[in-house]
Amino acid sequence: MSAQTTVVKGVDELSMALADDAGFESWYRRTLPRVYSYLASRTGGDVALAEDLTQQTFIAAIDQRSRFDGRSDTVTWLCGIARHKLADHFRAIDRDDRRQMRMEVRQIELEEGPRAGLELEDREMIGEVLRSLPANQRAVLVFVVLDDLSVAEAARLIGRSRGATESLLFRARDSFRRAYAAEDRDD
Amino acid sequence: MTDERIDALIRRLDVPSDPDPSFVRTTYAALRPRARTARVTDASRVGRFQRDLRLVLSGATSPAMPLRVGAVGLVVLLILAAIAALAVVGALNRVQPVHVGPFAVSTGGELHVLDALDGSFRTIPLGADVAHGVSRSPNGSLIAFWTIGGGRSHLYVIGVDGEHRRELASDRNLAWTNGIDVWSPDSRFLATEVRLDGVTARIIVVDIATGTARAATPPGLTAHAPLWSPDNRWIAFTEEADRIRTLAVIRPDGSDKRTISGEVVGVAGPDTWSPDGAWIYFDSGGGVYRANVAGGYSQRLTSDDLAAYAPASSPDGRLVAFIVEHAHRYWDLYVANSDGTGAHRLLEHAENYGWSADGQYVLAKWTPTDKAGGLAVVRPDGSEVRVVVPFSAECPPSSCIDSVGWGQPRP
Repeated sequence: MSAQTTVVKGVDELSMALADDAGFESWYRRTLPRVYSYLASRTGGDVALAEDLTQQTFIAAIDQRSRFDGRSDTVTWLCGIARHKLADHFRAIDRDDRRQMRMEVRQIELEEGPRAGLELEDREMIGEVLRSLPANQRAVLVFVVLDDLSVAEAARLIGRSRGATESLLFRARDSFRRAYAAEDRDD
Repeated sequence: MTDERIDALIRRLDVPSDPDPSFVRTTYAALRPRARTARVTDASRVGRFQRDLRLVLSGATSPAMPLRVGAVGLVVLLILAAIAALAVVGALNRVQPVHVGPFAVSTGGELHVLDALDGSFRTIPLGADVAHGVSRSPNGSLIAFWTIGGGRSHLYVIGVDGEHRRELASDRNLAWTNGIDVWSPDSRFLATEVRLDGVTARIIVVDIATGTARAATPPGLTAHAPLWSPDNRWIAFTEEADRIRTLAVIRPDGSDKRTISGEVVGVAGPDTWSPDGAWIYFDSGGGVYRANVAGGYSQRLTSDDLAAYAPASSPDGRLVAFIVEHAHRYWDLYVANSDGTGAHRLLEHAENYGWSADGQYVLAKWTPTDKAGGLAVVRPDGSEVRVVVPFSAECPPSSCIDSVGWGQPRP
C-alpha cells in the first residue's frame, strides 16, 4: 500500500465516520474503548478524570477534524489528541500546585519495606502511588515509561527543557520508589 | 528498587479497561449533535474546499479523483490561496502596529527576537547552548537568559541584535530555579531567584554593567519570586517560613526587610507593582489581592466565586488583568478596575503574560478551541486580538514557547 493511499484511507475513515449517524456511532463505539483505556491507565485508574479527558478528546477530534491528515489510523490520531489533553491536565495541575505553593511532602521512610510480594504489586496500588506523585512527575513517568517517548519528546510535550525533564524523571522514579515502599509498609 | 523495576511496575497499569456503559451512552448523546454540525459544515462548499485543500497539501491523490480533475482542482486551489493570501496581507496592513519593542522568545531552547512592529523574526545563534528563562530589559536593548552546563547554571546577557554576549556572575556557583528574572526599571540590574552556593531560594542582584552579583537576601531566609519596585529602590518577594508564605519587601542591598501582606498567607508571589509604588498585586488561594506597601495590609480584589490568579497592573494603574481557572482545565483572561470592581472576561482560553509598556495591550498565551491560537496581544477593551507567535503542529501550545520577555513584569 502506498503512502498516498494510506493518507486517503485515513481521511476517508474519518469522513465516513462523520457521513451519517450510523457511521459516527459505529466509529465512536469502535474507538472510544481504546481511547478510554489509554487514558485510564495513564491517570492511575482515576475513572472520573479518564472519562472527562476522553470526552474532551472526542470533542477536540470533531472540532479539529480538518487537522487530521490521514497519515495514521484514527485511533492513533485520537490517542495523540488524548496525550495532549493529558499533558494539558498535568500542566494545569502542576501550575495549580505551584500557584497554591502547596508544600505538602509525603512523610515517608527512605528504605524499602521487607515485603515486596506480588500480591502488593497490584494495579490499584500502583495507580494509587502514581496518583500520589506531583503532577509533573506523573506526567514524565506516563509519557516516558508508558508511552515510550524519548526524554526529548516528553520534554516538548510537558514544556520543559531536556535537561530539566531528565532531572524530573530521576526525581519521579525516586518519588515512586519511596511512595511505593511506604504503601507497601502501610499494607 | 531499580529503575527498571519501577518502570515494569508502572507498565502494569497499561491494560485495557472498559468504560462505564452509562458514560458511553451520555458521551455519545453529547457528541452526536456536534458530529451532525460538523457534517453540515463539511457538506458546504467551504467545507469541501477545506477537505480538498487538506488532501492536496498532504500530497495525496484520491483514487476517486481523476488526474485531470485533480490538476485543475490544484490550479483553482492555488489561485484561491493566492487571493486569500492577498486578502490577509491587506488586512494586516490595515491594523495598527504594536509599539512595545521586540519580544525575546525561547522556543525549543533557541533564542528568537520578534518585532511585532514590522513582523520581523530572527534567531540569535547560541552555538550548542540551549536558552532558558529569557527576559528582556525594559529599555529594549538586552536579553538575559540561562544555560545549563558543567554542573551549574550560567546567566548570560546579549544584545537584541545578537551581539556582545557575555556571562554574568560567572564567579558565583549558581543554579537557576526556573523562575522569571526581573529587570530593574532602569535596566541596570537583574534580580533572580537562584540556589547560591548550595543554599536554595536566594535572591541575587546582578549588575549588568560589571557582571557582578550579590545576594539581596541572607542565607537563612527562604525567598522566592523577586520583583523590582517602579523607583528601583525596593525588591518585593515571597518569604517562606514554616511553609507559610508572606509578601515582603527589601532593599536591593539586603536592608530594611519588612512584611507587607498583613493577614494573608499562602502568597504565591508578587506579580506587579502599581506604577506609583503604593500597591503590590498578588494572588493567594485562588484570590487576587493587593498589598499596601506603606500600610502593610492587603485587600482582596476578586470575589469568592472566581478562582483568580496571576494579576498584572496596567502601566497607568487603572486596570488589573488576571486569569480565572475553570475546573482545573483552562484559564480565561479577565480585566478589572484596579480596586477589583468591574471584573469581566477579556479572552477565553488565555493566560496572562502581562501588559505592554504603553498599556495598549495585554500579552496572552491564547489557546482557543476553534483555532490554532498562539502568543497573542489583546486590547484591554477586547476590540482587537492579534496572534504574534502562532501555534501549529510544529509549534504546539504545550511546548512552543519556553519563555518570553518584552521588558514588563510577567505574572
